[in-house]
Amino acid sequence: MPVVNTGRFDINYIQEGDGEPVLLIHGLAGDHTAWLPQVAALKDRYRVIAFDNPGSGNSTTVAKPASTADLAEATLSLMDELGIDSAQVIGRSMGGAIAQHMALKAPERVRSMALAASFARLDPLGSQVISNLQQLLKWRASWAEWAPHAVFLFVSSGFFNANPELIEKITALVSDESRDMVSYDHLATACIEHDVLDRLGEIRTPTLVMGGRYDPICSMTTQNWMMERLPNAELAVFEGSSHFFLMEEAAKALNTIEHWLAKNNA
Amino acid sequence: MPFAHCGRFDVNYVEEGSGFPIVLIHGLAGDHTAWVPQLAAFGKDYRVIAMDNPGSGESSPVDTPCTTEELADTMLALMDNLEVDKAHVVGRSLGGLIGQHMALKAPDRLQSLIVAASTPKVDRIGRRILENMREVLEWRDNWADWARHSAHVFVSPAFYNDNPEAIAKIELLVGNEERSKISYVNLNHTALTHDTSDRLGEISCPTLIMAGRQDPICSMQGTEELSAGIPNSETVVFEQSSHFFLMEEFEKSMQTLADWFANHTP
Repeated sequence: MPVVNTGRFDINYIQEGDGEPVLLIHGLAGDHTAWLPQVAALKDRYRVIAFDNPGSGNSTTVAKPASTADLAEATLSLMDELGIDSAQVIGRSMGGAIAQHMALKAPERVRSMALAASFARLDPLGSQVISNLQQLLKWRASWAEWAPHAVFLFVSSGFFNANPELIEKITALVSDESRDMVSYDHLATACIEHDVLDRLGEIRTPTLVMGGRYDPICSMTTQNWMMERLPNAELAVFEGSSHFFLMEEAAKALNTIEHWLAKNNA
Repeated sequence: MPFAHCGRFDVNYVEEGSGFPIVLIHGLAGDHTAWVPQLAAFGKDYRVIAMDNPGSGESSPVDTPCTTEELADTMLALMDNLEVDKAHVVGRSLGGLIGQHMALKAPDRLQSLIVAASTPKVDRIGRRILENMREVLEWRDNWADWARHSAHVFVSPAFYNDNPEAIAKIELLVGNEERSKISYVNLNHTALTHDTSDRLGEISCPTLIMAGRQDPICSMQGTEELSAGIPNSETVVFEQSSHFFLMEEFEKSMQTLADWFANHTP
């Protein structure tokens, strides 16, 4: 995979297809492979870019604190390096927080923004859950022990019960002991400290807010906070799902995203 | 508070009012004070009895493993002690598991069975959550950490975000350092080994099944199994709530119980 230097961080990325650029930003617990189904589905119509966030996958670790604003700078630098003037940006969870800072810093470079299970400020529950996960990792210093305490939060009860093999697979993925714990800790703090709620009124970028009805990390409370403040936003709720509705209701989620991209295409 | 000797355990209990008896059995994380509102409200028209389960409150600790069947014997012994021939038996969570065995063992002693946030067998996600809770207690050996890592699972995201004072109160209650840790660990196992899946058809008394739509501990999967398996049953779902719908949707739950008692008391 190619790597580009964006100042503080070297970023590992993939790109597929031709057309208008679509930039995919993953969340706190993942890496670019979280987007492989979307890359496969969208590459026939778009130039699709997915990358490992700093602190994730094969990109540079986050050895010292970094904010979501810093990560937005790195992502804009990645766009520079790839010669992309503007893109439709899709961010899940922390990736959506990064996208908001991109839209605030460089509105002309974000044609549209889709925020999947994201937040402009974590609500009390989301903040508690993230700080619990941060604490568990510090207590145990083991991804394998951490994973079962995280995974049940990501999907609905119905999905968890009905898909034991998939749950095992996700648990194994986030149990990968090569993940950098210091990076995770700094990125979790970046999530807890992310707060652009009072600045959302400045974002005129067309925005799609997507929420999972049962998501405890980015609950409907925080989705509603965003909808009340974003001047140019629409809401899609995934009624049977939690934080991972892109997987839990994969067909509906992809369909929603394809419509959104087509509508906002140049 | 009076004590009753019930075989292996001494059981601490309270009584309120007079009339047809109602027996209230609390769950894994509580004690008889979980029923304070129900004692006050139903004590006006009924003889209401609430106890500390073995291993909880002031009752004997559970030093060695025990089953929900044994706890059902304990509750029936308490009824003997108090000269209660027949009662409405109301159990929440673990209390509902105990109630199922009371109905199986002594159908003539139950005027009706009411199970709240219960299941015939803890499902996959419920099992994961109970194991997570036990792990946090074993890792930290204190209830305050346990409370912070558990309280959010008991209520819906909206309730958590909208009721900070209620959450602080729950954390304080379940964070009480006097609780016996060995009893909790044994009772946690008691819940995990409960399985009446193949015997639900034998429960002959009128049964009210109450469930929280968003409950991950005793999810809708278990609720649906109870509803399908218990022949003479009615099911009421609390759409906005999780495991603590008796608190989250307090008025609706009190009305549901009041109507049930009124319609099922000789």
